[in-house]
Amino acid sequence: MNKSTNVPFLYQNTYIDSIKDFLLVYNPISQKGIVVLNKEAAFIFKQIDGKKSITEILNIAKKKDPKVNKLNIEKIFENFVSSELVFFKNPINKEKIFSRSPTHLGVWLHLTNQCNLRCTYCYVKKTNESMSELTALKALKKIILQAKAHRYNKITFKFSGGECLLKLPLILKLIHFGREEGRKNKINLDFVVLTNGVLLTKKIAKVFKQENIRVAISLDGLESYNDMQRVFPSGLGSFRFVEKGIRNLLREQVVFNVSVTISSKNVLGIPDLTKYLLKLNIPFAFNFYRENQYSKEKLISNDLKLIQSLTKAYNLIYLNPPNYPIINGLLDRVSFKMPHRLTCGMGNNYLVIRQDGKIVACQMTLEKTIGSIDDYNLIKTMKDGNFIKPQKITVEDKLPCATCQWKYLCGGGCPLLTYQQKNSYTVSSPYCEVYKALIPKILRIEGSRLIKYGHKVIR
Amino acid sequence: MNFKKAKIITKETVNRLSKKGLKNNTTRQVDVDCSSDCACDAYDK
Repeated sequence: MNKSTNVPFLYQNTYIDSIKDFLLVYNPISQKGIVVLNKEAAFIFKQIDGKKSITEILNIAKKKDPKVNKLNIEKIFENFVSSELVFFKNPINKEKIFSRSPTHLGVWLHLTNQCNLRCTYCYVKKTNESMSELTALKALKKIILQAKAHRYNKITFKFSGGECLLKLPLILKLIHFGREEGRKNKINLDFVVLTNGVLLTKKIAKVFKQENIRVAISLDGLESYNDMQRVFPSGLGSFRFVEKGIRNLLREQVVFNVSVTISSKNVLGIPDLTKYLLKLNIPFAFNFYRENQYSKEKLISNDLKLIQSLTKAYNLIYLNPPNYPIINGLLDRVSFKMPHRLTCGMGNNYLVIRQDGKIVACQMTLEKTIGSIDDYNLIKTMKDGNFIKPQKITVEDKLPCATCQWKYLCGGGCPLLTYQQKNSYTVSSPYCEVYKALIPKILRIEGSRLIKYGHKVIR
Repeated sequence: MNFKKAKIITKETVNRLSKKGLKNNTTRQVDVDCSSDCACDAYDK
């Protein structure tokens, strides 16, 4: 219980916006996420100035509602504190949040260089090489044992390629083997198939449902917007094939999301794609294209076009938000799940195993090996392979990120992309202006969702 | 104004409501945390 003589404080960089009669509040170091206050809660919240005590705020409130009492106001403040919007004497310990060791390991298994498509921006050099069963099983077992030894309690294996569905029997074998090893070693495992969707038949969708396998399927737009960049070797577009795959997943009720790569070619088609995905109630994630040595052209979208098109897409979501949290996938490498100082897990809790058993730090650096599954300590290999220089820097060390209110959402952006374009790891993302323009709009989407699905709840 | 009507809505309150709704609902489950599946994102960072 707060003593009514106490003075409440807001956190530094608290972001406040209005949605109709509601107030949207976002504390960047809170793990509670975005919070929405109705007009009564908002009135009290607006009185907080770091000077007035609860008693003084109560007296102001009495002018609006003579029946309000000390207990009513204290209850509202208790909710402000538990929602991590306000503190009295003890603010959230930021260092405590950031110093926690990760417990969830992400492992990208690059099963094959083979693919049935030739997407114009793909970073994989297509060859006939694939991971052997022996290498795959060895990798899986070793990762499970070492993750356990290093106190990770969960591993997510992402099967990728090339097109990993070309290796479906191997995937199923690995999942069965992995689950058994996971049980033996008391470590949680889950599995995601990253696919272009062309080979997703009803039969395969059924198997995914039975085996409880999640799917991430790539689709870059409707019809021609997809077909400008996601093509077969003949040049034929893949849209109608992928759409069939999506229908099969929907029919079998497989848990999946759509991964959208945005380039200058498809950027204008993003609003229509958004409408389509919302209508089908399919979660999705927007990723920005990254230039690489195998892509056939420069595809980076200019900032203004990107902002305008995403704004249109966001407006559609804002007006009719789904009931599940959608905001974590809406902007490349920006996550609202919890405050973070690093953009991705590279070098900390993420590693990529190549088809030949070699380890790389990121799937975008497939040709830069940092070790192999034969290494004595794979976690050490992962940590030593962190390519950011200097290795310990976080978004707080970057300029001008250190003073930015959004730094714990973007973490400074993809370090690889920043280095490619700015030749330094200690500067902000090339997409910094896009982030600054769009993050407030994404916060409004979450606010709109909270109002739509949570307004009947009284805390 | 009636300050007894003050409401604070967070993602936790909406999650609780959604889960209640799912009990009597046979529609497809939509995973709430698959945005990290498609790329290099780590799951806790």
